[in-house]
Amino acid sequence: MKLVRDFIIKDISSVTENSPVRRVIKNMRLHRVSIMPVVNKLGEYIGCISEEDILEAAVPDYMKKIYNTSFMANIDQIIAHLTQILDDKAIALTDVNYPYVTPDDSLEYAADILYRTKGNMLPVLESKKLVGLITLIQILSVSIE
Amino acid sequence: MILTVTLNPAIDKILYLKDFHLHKLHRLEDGDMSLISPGGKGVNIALNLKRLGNEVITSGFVSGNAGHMLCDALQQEGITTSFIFTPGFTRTNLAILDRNNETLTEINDFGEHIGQDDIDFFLEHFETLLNRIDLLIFAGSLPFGVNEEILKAMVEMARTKSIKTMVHALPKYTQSLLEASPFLIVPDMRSHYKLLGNPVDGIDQYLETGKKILEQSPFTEWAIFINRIENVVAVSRHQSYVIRPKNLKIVNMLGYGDAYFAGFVHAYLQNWPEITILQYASACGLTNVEDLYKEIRDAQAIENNLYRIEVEEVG
Repeated sequence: MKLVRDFIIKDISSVTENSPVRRVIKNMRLHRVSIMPVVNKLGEYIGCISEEDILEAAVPDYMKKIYNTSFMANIDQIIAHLTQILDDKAIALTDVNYPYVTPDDSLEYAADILYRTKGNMLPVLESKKLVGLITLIQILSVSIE
Repeated sequence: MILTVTLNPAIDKILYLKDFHLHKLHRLEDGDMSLISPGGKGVNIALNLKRLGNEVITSGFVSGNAGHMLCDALQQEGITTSFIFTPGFTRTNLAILDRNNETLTEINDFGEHIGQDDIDFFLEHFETLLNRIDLLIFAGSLPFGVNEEILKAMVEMARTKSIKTMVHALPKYTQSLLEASPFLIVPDMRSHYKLLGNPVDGIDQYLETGKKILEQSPFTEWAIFINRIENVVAVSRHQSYVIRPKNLKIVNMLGYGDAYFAGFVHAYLQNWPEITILQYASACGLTNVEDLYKEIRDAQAIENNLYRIEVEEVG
């Protein structure tokens, strides 16, 4: 059985719960990732922030209410709203229920979660410690190796 | 778990040529070699520590494509990366090893300027890493924008968690290090002959300076001068030593200091006696200089070289 530990990307880049949202965006851009793990001061994993989480927070409530009618979101308004939350703490946008796997989980289990959640990356935890990541493309790459 | 911090890492481009001359076009041919690998002192030490069987996290600042390349290469070696990405490009360090004329030419590039926001975030991130490590290593230079206060901050933050810090850095940082007082200070004396304002060259001056470091730095247990491989001088709180390898056959000095340092760290973590630690560290340095590569590739060779290391207790 293929295990997560054999395919783990040993990178533990993260932001802390107190990092401002601007730092989360900067890290995502420079790290070239769409999901960023969040840890507390003790280095314990809390959850993840995705690009979608930030976008969701950036869209003003009134836009969401009329989204399903005929309104096309105005990017200037979204950016203006996002600018207002850049200094908010990362914890405010953190998805504490974001799924994760452990090194001893099977690759099938990781693939199943990613398929069901339409995600592309899962944090890998040992106890409460982030020990790396597993990505969808790595799982797919098993087929060509 | 060991954390190595490299604030100014590099991509190392190493050319092994048969005959290198200035003002000449060189085309690599059969027998020449070209290697690209992650570099910078802390990174090199991490690579060696991993080869010796240790679990290592490495952190610092990286940028751009070269930064991603550096992280990928370290992960492939089984090292956990936790770098802060900053705008710009990670530097390239060039080394040219001329095998016929036995010369080594090194050109170390500038690093990127690091902004205060990134420095602050690094320290915030560093604090979270302290809860999962047993030992901190700082090695190498400081990039533009980062001053020596960061050394003190890191050593002090580690000390509050009862984590020892071992440092291998340029002599210009020694004054700050005396204030920070890490467990081990190994000044990088390559191309430097002065320390704390005084000329330092030769066994007696190394011994004297080592003792001065320990006098002025209350938490420092070791000061070691490794730049003369034929006469390494180590000063501990208990004893001073001169360590000499026998029948040295130098092939490549590139990476010697980092291999020695990693050997010391590995041996220290085994709780070996002082003399055994120094023997092992010098055997790592010896094994490294007698091979072409900048990091130790054959850990078994270290064991085989131990008998070639003489440790003399002095003063």
